[in-house]
Amino acid sequence: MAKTKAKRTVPLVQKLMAESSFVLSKAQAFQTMGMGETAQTLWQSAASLQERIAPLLDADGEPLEAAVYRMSAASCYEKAGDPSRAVNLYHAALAGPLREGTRAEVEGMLAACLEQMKANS
Amino acid sequence: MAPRLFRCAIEEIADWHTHLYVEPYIVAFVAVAGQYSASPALFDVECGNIASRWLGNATECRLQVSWPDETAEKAVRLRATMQAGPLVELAAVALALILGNRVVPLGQLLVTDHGSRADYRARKRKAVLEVSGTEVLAELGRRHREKMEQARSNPFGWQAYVVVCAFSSDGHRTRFTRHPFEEAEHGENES
Repeated sequence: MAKTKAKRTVPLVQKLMAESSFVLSKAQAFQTMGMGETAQTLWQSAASLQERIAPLLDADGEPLEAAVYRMSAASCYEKAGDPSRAVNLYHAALAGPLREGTRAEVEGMLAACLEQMKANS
Repeated sequence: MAPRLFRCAIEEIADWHTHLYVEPYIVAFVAVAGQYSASPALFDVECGNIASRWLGNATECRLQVSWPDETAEKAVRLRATMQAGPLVELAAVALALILGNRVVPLGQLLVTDHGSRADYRARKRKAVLEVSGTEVLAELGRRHREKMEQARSNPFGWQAYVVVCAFSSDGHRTRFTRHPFEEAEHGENES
């Protein structure tokens, strides 16, 4: 039963990953080209897609990759100007089995995000 | 024996990487390479620890990359609006997308965002791809080491491919290497 379920989620995960990669690569390119305003809605879309991917990866038994997707979603929400959602997702990523170096990196990103929220309030 | 030569048009990367938005990378590539020569541009590629059917046992190859006039016109406009640093980074990604498809078929490349940097990764190969570019030939080694370090800390614990391209009037050079994760973790990589 569990196997059938896992099999069913794989194509959806792959579809979302492909879609997320396209949107994210577009956001990154626009941001690099100095078109930050155009990129903002793309960051939001990419974040939302990645947020959907993470639990599907959990269901597929890929908790590390799921945690990385949460970290990436958080980073995208931050760039989209939504630090509250970013903070929640950084916390969610830290609850996953991140590698030591990545964990330190995410903790730093979370601290910077909280600092930014504090400065803006 | 002369290094093996691979010829392609830069626009082909759009067909090879349908899950990435590559148009800006294509134009940036032409904006940078087009400053040094008319189409096509030739790249000397030094390969380290690369297992590739196309490459065989060779440790070097050459890429000849062409582009049409239409892209050259777009490139002029892009060069006028973008700073050199980011432009070269985008151009290097375009070149990496050739190597990561034709020299080593990495399969579908996906992207995740990690704050100030992006990771390209190939799930089927369990590999990440780190890319950088420079217009200072003397910086090639240092930049490659930096990228290697970054690749070592990839969050997946996967092997890493590193592509660093130096665009130069003395000839374009590219370093393309593969680093198994375990090896990278213990600091036993090439310098």
